[in-house]
Amino acid sequence: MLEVTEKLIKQVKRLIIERLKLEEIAIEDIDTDAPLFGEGLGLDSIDALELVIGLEKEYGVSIPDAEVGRKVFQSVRTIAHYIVENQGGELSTADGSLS
Amino acid sequence: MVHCHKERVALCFPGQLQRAPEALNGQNGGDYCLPHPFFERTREKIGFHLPSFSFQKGKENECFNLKLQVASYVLSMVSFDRYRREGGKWDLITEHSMGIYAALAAAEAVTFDDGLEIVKGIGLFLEEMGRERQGGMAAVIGLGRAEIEGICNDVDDGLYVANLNASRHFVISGEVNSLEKGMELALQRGAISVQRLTFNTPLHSPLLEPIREKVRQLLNGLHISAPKTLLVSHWGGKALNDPHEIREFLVEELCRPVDWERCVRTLLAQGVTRFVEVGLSDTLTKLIRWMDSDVKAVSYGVRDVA
Repeated sequence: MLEVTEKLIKQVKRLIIERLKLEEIAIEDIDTDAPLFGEGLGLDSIDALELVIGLEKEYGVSIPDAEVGRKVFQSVRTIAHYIVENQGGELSTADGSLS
Repeated sequence: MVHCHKERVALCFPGQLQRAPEALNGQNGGDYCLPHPFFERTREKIGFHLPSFSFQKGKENECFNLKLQVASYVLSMVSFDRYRREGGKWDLITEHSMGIYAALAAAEAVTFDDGLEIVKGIGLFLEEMGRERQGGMAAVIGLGRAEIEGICNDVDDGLYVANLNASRHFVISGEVNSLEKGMELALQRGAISVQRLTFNTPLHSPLLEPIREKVRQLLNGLHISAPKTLLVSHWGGKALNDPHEIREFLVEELCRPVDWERCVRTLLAQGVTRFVEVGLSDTLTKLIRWMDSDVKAVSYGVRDVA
């Protein structure tokens, strides 16, 4: 059973920053357990769509509907858990580097 | 107008805000209470006090969407004015939905005061319509165009595609029952997000045809000139060149969809290299980045107005 590693948490934070062009935010600024939408990072539904595409592209995991999306996008940690639970085999990013 | 030769810059005026700007509700009006002549002018001209987000007259004060429309107009104009005063450059102006009113004022096709009159006048017609016959709009994210059109067909009772914002971002519009059915279908068919918007009328749909004549009459009393900057509309990038065309657009656009995706793609094909969104919103910025992740798209904001 794969576990959520600190490395994966960092990768998810980097994915959020890069996909959403959050140029003024550093990885350290994002709280792993803080809400991503509304309070916290203040993301919206257009950002959610960017993240859906990002997760498909980088990790090959898909978000099939809004209900799953709501659960997955609660925080960085819930995203990382979803990646681990839905991606078979070794975790690797799109550029081929292992997590 | 300040011409820019190295880059081709499009100033983008967003549509109606979906909630009262938070900073307006703070003590002393929050961040937006900083002096700007447009705030005072708005109070004098139509009795709307922006820092407290309220009209002086009780009845108008109950019109939440009207207040949002006026606030959106004024804040976009303040943002534009700040951008201009700081030496910001632009080659053309474009707009989304109700962003047309501020876009017209920025392009000097109407004065700031007449822009306010148009926003308030049309806003009141919409409020009246919303009281008589409840309608609304919802943003659907994650489904493609064919799926959205399929939902509108399947509801079969006056549900329309009102905004084609990007390949997987749409707004649907209709009377309340149809809208709710459409929202439910969208969720069943795998939308990532379905959100009811604040509007109480089915904007950008044929259901608004009953107010066309009223809008035409309102506009007949106001002076409209040819824009001094190239003005590109949300009708897929169609330029608005003369006063007659602008009047017709202002009447008809209420009954027809916003095609923002085709507008942006047209501008990209015409060599626009930078999009600057003026106002409180960053929605257009995100939609543009969604369409082209390499193009420069920034939200200028309102905050540091002095």
